[in-house]
Amino acid sequence: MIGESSLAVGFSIAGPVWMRHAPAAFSFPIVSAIAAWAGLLALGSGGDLAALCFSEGTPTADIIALGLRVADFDWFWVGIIQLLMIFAMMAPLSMTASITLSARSYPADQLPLVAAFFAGYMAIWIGFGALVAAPLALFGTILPLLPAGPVIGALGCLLAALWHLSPLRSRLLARAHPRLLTSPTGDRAAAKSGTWGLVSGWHCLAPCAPTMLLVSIGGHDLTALLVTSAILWAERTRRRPRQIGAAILLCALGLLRLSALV
Amino acid sequence: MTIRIRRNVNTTAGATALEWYARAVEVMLQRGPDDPTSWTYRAAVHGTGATTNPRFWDRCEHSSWQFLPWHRAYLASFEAMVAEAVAGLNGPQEWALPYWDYTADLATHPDARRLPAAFRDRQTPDGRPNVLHSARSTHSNGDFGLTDDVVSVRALEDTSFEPSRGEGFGGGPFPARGAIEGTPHNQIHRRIGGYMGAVDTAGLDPIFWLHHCNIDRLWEQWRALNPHVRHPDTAEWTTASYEMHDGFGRAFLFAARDMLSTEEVLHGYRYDDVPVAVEPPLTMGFMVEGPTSPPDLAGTSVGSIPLEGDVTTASVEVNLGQAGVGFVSRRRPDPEQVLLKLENVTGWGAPNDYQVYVHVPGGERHRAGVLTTFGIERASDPQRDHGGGSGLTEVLDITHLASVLGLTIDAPTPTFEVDFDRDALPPLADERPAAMPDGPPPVTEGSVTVGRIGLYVR
Repeated sequence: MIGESSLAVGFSIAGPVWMRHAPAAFSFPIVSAIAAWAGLLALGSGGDLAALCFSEGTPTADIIALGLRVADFDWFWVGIIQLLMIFAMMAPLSMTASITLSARSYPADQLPLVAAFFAGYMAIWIGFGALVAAPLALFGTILPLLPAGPVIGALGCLLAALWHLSPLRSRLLARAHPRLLTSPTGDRAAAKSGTWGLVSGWHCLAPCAPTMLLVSIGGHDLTALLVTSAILWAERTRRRPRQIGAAILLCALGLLRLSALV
Repeated sequence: MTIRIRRNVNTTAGATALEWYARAVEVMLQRGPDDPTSWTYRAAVHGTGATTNPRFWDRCEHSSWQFLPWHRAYLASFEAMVAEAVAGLNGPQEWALPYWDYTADLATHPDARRLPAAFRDRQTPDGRPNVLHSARSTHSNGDFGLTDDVVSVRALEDTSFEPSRGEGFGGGPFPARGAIEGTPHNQIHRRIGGYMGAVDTAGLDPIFWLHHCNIDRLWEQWRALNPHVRHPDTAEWTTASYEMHDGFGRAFLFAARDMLSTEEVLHGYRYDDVPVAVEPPLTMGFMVEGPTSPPDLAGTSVGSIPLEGDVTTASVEVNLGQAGVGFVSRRRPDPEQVLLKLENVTGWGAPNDYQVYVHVPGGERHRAGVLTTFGIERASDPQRDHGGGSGLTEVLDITHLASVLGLTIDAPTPTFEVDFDRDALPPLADERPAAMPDGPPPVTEGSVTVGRIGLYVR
């Protein structure tokens, strides 16, 4: 009766009204995500974030043929780009939990408890980002310049699509974003909220991190970032996300990468 | 295409529809479990312990605002299949599913709350197994003890589909259950018991479909009472897509927004006593007004509360001063609204419902409402749904009890107590349906733990 629409972003056009009523829940996820996207758009105006990570400007096939060295990378920018990407993609995914936490807390506690949760949630993702920043920078820089780069990039997207359709990912996704089962009130409320953030981040990592890695091996470009973010945001709003739309989008991204061959 | 008319089963036309229904059920029971138009397949779409068909089975939506649209499509799909079977038996081409209106006024419909007679006996008058019989609790001539509270239609008084001042008629994003889903829907399931008492087996009982037909009718009735109220406009509600089968077993996709006109759902249908509702146009008013601000937390219980024995009592520590932006800061003597939220209600099996009472320590008990447990096992399972495992949430409006509990700014009470009285349900009358002797055993036991009791005021 309708076409596939599971990728529709689940934000209400009445969102600003809710923001007025639950400011704590929106403050950290949304403000940080907007700031991260603004930073990425400003830095990657050419659409290629990898160039920023290279100390000598955009890397060329000649440089790569001579052998890339660690010193060729500007690791400060590698870290900054990684951090911005993590906040842009993952911060909005913590919003539903933040709303729940905010609604179930005493008004005076809402902001610190949401902050503690957000810190825990993002700590997991920042830790993950730190672990994969260097290899991703290498892949993202080298692969697009290799003759087989577009094919490998497309293959990464195809694998990501298959990952989204796999029963294992469905099971892992079901476990992601559990709702807080204990009271966030009392003396140890902040610690509980922070721990809940860590647990949520950890559960979120399992289904989402492989998608991010597989898409990233083809390059650090804004299109890939946007597609991955849209997929993760859309499925966050679904109780039982249908993954066919995500798989189609990922395959389309793979085709886009293959188009570099012609 | 002729629009089908769904009629009350306790009318002459409804009784005729029921006779054809029984004959079609017999046909569907004979079909194999892999046939989308078979009886067991249709029941498995709602719920099943089997994991062999994850695309179509175990797909029902409960405890969320998708409850009504998902079940509308599910019902229309089933109706189309039964209608095909009826047509194959040379029955009426315009056959439609009858509804069981247990909410009807007893003064004019004295048997409204009794299970229709055709569903009661194991055998038909001519000695054959009755296909409309099922595993159910013990009853007396169809009387399952459906009290006024069980069949209450107070949900119709909620003027918002989404949670606003109350639960909302239809509910919100999972796990925000709508008022109509709690009562009468959940309570009827648990009162009839047997297969109907658990999500995984409910669709196996032939009365399930007449019960849900009535819930679907009540949705149309609510729309008729609130012609200016729109359904949610968020993409999260309107476009979340699901798969279902048409009358021939062919898969189709639908979303909640496709369920807003009954005359356009598959073959199209309407009810004999409710006008067809039309979704009002979008205006800018909702942008200005928006949803009502949520109430503030003003007290909680400490620790989780396992419900054991016939009565369990828990204390709620009240801290009205913490509800700083609520009624205290506005210097009102009484709160505008007081809600008791039973949060993260988890458990397994098919436990009994609980009557909930509140009182000051040593004081008189006052009924706050009912904690319904239908669907608790699914909501408690972290493996089945994204973000699941957190259990159910029951919202009870106890504004009328604020003064007797001392929930006022002048003389705030430091604590009050909540009693959970387990509903006494009769034992099973039959272990297996007459026409399904090899059917799964009905679930009759279970457990319940309330994660937290929250007191909310505005």
